[in-house]
Formats: sequence, C-alpha cells, structure tokens
Amino acid sequence: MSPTVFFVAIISAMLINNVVLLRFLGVCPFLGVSKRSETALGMGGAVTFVMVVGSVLTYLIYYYVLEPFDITYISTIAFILVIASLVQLVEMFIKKVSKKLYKALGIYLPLIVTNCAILGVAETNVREGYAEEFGIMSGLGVAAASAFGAALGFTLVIFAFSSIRERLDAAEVPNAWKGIPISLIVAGIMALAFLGLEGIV
Amino acid sequence: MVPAIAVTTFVVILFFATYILNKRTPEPLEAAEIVDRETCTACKNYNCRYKIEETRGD
Amino acid sequence: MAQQASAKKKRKKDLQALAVFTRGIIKENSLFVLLLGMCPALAVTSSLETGLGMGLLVIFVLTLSNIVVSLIRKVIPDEIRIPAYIVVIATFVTIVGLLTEAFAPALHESLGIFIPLIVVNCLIMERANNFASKNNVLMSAIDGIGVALGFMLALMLIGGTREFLATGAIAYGIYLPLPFEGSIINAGLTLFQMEVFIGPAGGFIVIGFWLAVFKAIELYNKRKKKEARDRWIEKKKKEAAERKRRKAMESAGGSA
Repeated sequence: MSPTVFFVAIISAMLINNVVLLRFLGVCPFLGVSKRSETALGMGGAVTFVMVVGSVLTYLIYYYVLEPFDITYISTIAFILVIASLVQLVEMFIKKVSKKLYKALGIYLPLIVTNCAILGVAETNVREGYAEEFGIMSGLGVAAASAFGAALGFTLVIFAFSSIRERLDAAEVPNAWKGIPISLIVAGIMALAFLGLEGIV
Repeated sequence: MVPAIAVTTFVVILFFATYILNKRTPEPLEAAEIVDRETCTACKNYNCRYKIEETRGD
Repeated sequence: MAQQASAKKKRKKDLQALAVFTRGIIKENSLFVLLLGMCPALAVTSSLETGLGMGLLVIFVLTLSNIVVSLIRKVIPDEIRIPAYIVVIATFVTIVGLLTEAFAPALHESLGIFIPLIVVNCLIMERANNFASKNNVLMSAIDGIGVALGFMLALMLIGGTREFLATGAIAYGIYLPLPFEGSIINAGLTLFQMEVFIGPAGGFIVIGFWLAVFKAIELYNKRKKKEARDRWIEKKKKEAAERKRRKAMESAGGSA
C-alpha cells in the first residue's frame, strides 16, 4: 500500500468530488455563513477537526461494533449521536482549556451538529467500502484522508465564495436576484468550473 | 436484537450526558458577545436558535 | 345559546387548523421562503420522481416526529429538549430508510446517503422545536403534513424543471414502484437536451432561478399593495380637504 493512495484520496475528495459543489453537502453554511473571510476560515477549521475525528470514530464503530454484531441497520442513529456527542465534548473541552481557541472555533461548533457534510462524509466513507478494498486498518487511513480532503475542499470553497460575496454585495443586481438567488447562480458557475477537474487523478 | 438495543441505549445516554455536561460548562467570559448574529443566517432558524437559546434562555 | 357559542368555537378551530395546514405550503414554504433543507433540494432533484420520493419520505418523517414530539412535550425536561428531538427524528429516519429499502429499492438506490441525511435536515428540527413543542398533537400533525407537503411540491417543481430541460421529457415509473411507466410530457426535443441541468451546476442554477421568480412575484405584490394604499390615502386626504373647505365656507357664510 503506497502513500499515493492517501494523496489520491485527499485530492479526489477535495477537488473532484467537492463536498459542497458536487456532492451538495453543507450547502447551508456555504450560503449563510460565508460573508467574511475570517468567518469562513474559522468555520473551515472547526469542520476540518470534527470531520476527521468524526469519520475515524464512526468508521471504527461501524467495523468493530456494528458489523461484528450484524446490526449495521442502526448505523444512522449511531453515527448522528456519536458525532453530536463528539461535538459536545470538543466544545466543552475548548470552553475549559482556551478562551482564544473558543473564540476562534467554538462559536461554530453548534452549527456543526446539524451540518450535513459531517454525517454525509461519515456515511460515504462506510459506503465506499474502503475496508473491503484495503483491509480494515489501512481503510481507516484512507477514510481519514478522504475526510481530511473533503474538509479542505469545504474550506476552500467557502473561503473562495466569501471573497466573491464581498464583490457581489457591491455589484448592481436586480432586486429579485439579490441575496441567495444570485449566490446560487454563482455557486452553479463554480460547480461548472469544478466539473472541469474531473479526471485529473 | 439485544446488541442493537444495547448500542442504541449506549449512544443515546452518551449523547444526553455530553449534552448536559457541555450545557453546564459556563462559556468563557467575553466569548458570549462574539456570537455574531449576522453570521448566524445559515439554516435561518434552527441553528442559531440552538446557540442563542443557550446563551439567552430561549 | 351555549350551543351556538360552541359551534362558533369549533368553526374557529377548524379555520385555525386550515390556516396551519396551508401556511406551510405557500406563504411559509420551507424551501423557497425559509430556505430550509437546501442540501436535499439540490441533491435529489435530478428528476421529478426522485423529488417526489424524497418529499414523501419527508412527509412521513416530519409528521410522525411532530406527533411524537408533541406527545412528549410535557414529559421532557427543558434541559434535554434538543437531544431528545434528535433521537426521535433519528429513529423515524432509520425506520423510513428500512421501509424504502424494502418497498422501493430503486428510490433507495438513487437517493443514496440523502436518506440518512434527513436527520440533519434543518426543516424537521425547526418544526419540532418551534411548533410541535408548543402545540397539541392534532395541530402538530397537521402542521407536519402541511410543511412537508410544501417541501415536496418545491422539490417536484425543481425536479420537473431540471428533468425537462435535461431530457425534454418528464418520466414516471422509474424510481417509484408504480405498476406503469411512461412520460407525462414528451416534447421530443432530442436536439436541445441540456445535460448540464441534470448535473450539479444545473441544480444550483434552477433553484436560484425559481427563488428569483418567487421573489419577483413577492416584490410585485408588495408594490401593488403599496400603490393601492397610497391611492387610498390620497383619496382620504382629498376628502378631508374637501370637508374642511366646505366647513370653512359654511362657517364663513354663518358669520357673514
């Protein structure tokens, strides 16, 4: 198993199957939160952390608890509750440990519980069948890598979009198109651009 | 069936426990002010209410 | 007398129920007005039928979760309200996922991870938190059906538009387990199929377009209303001025 597998997993999750633009996960924060660049980066940081840790946890639970007992049908409920617990723990931890970190990331954590990107990536990792392809332990690495790539892709897109948004606010737009409608059109054009990256890996 | 019930019960209790623990941990001072209402427009109602109700009590 | 009063009360209640039901469909349409549930609206609307299928699942989950949340609203301590709602919703989503897998495998296949993701659909949590936790069971059920129906109609509108633009036809019987299949509209525009609309970019653009259309209608109505009001004020002003003048003339005539 060569390191290129991880690299390919990261690039493919980040650019070729971008979570927001091509898999439609986490569209709410994409449209709502990303007005300022710092906000976008803070959100991206929080999502990256929770997405990677959450994916690893749910992967382990799926293959070491649900699969051996043959109870994979409760995976939805197990995944969402484990991710939600994780978010609560992380929030509590940084509340206690660092005021600075809480300022930078903590305020985005409640937004993450219902962020479909986190649960979506966890579900995808299991459905992609990395464990069957690479074995359970190596599959875990690939799953973590693709979660990391997905989070990077999310950050990249909301950061880029926040910069576009600044220009968009200053532009003259017909009244009916102001706000979300024109943002969606911009997102559509961004999605077209990302379609062009198909096939680079 | 038994393991399914056991696992479900476990995760439900885990979630309730962490939620209550987190809720009882006070926020660092000053931090409450930086919850910028404007950045809270994502999923208009729910997400922010979740945050606001914790800081303001509904 | 008392009978009359109670009949009146009943009518009022019926009217209120009707208002709760219709409100969610047009005036407070979850997708086009409140912008809730964007992710599934983009992901599962590549055809009318997948939109319809998703909408049906959401009707099922939202109605049942509203009923249960309303039933337990007095038992659940306030502190653990939100986690309790998440558990209730996750339970119904699991049930609905298993039912779809059994009875509509093609739909299950095409909706993919968006069936478990109904759990994190803001729409359902929002209704549980803002409506079902404060109202009785019947009202909550009516609200759930109305809101989810509005969501389903929005998904169907988007899905139908995208499917028509991409294939020149709107088909049925492919994803849902219907005993027949065919197409509702078939324009036969084989030369003008714009496949981009079935892809991700098309989803964003079609939703943006419909949002702008509804916003334009809203703005137009608002302007009409304002114009009517302005005209009314103008008329009242004129009448008042006229009255004043007459009064002044009368008093002038009286004193003379």
